Amino acid sequence: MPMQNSLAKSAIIEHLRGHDERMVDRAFESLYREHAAAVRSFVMQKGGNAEDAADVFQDALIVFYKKIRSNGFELHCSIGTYLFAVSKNLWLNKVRKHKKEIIGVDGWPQDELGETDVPLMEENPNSLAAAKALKKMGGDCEQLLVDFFFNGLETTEITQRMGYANEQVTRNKKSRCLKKLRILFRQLKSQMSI
Amino acid sequence: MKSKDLHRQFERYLLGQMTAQEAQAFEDSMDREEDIRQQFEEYKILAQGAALRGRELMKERLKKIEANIQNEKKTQQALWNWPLGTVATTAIALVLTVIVLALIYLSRSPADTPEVLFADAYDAYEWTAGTRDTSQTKQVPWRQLYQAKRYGDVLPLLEQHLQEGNNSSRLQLLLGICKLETNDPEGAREAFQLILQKNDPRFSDHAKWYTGLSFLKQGNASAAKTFFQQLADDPTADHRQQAADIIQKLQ
Repeated sequence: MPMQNSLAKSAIIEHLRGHDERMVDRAFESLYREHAAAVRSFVMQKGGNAEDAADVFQDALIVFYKKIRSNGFELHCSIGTYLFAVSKNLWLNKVRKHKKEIIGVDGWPQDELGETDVPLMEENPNSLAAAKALKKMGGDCEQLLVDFFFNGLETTEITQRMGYANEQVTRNKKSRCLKKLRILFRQLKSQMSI
Repeated sequence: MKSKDLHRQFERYLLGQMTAQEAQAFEDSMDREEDIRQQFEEYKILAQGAALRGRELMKERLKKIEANIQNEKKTQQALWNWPLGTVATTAIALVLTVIVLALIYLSRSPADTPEVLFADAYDAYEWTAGTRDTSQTKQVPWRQLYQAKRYGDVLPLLEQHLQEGNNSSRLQLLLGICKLETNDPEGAREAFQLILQKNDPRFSDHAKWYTGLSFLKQGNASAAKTFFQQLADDPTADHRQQAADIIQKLQ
């Protein structure tokens, strides 16, 4: 991959809000180059390893992506500050969860950041089984439902992205996909005895 | 209610798009009908599953981006981490190679030019008069001038002699040499051409040789090669080996 220049804050936000996956990836790449090192350094100082740091930074990027795409979110600090704060919270939550000993975690000026203590998506046996069923389903249905429930795209945007004739086609397709997913999920659930 | 409509209600409720009244009415309906509540709970699970799947896919993409960046960094580090000795040795080897190639080029290229080949190969024809040569028996005055390499002085005398009717191939050859020496290769070739037209076996090879040389002098290697090739192909020709050598050098 060729070396990319860092993108400006406004360009990153614009790319992440758009529908072009290449531009979204470019924004992520820029964020990696700029901010991953600081998070890595923090996690490793606080008892984590390189793998933990990479995992935390990826989750922080996803939180940022979801926030940027949600209505009414405004970023009042730099992206780096936001990502670092989210990463820090994610790591501390993870450590607390695993009852690891934390020494010397500094406080953070929460007022400047707004809401950074973002819970990750709900993971329970049922939702994990539904995710697995969707993965098994694959194809257009997987793309459509992910676009709707994860990327937060409107029906109009999905119609455009998937190349469907009109919004009604998209709505019908979504309904059929949900029906299929329900059947697969129930099958999987009965196999797993959830 | 159709499941599609029900799903739309679930979506609006989950996305907070209902008014307070609508939301209350929806919650009441779920309290009244267990079936709707069950459908709603299942819909919520499917929505959460789709969001989790989206997160998985995005994490895969992010891992790829990270891996690409790490590979890029490793490549850069690998270059910087070369031992100093290896870098120095490679640099010296490169510099020496460049110098050697430059020397080879400089030493070879001038020798390969037609003009330089001419200078190496050319010697004026030596006048050792034959028994039937009238200029020998008559002790013509320009013979001594020619041997003294005063070609410019010989030229008018030779031309006058030829106009007087003594049109021997030897005199034509000497005339050509004088013209070559006085920097008139075209005039020289005219003289050599007359010898070739007469097809005089004693002087034809000389005429071809000097015609080839006259072209070399002017930098016309391909024309020169035509005449040298004729000599090189003839096993009994004078200048055969010299002609073959020049052809090889020209190639």
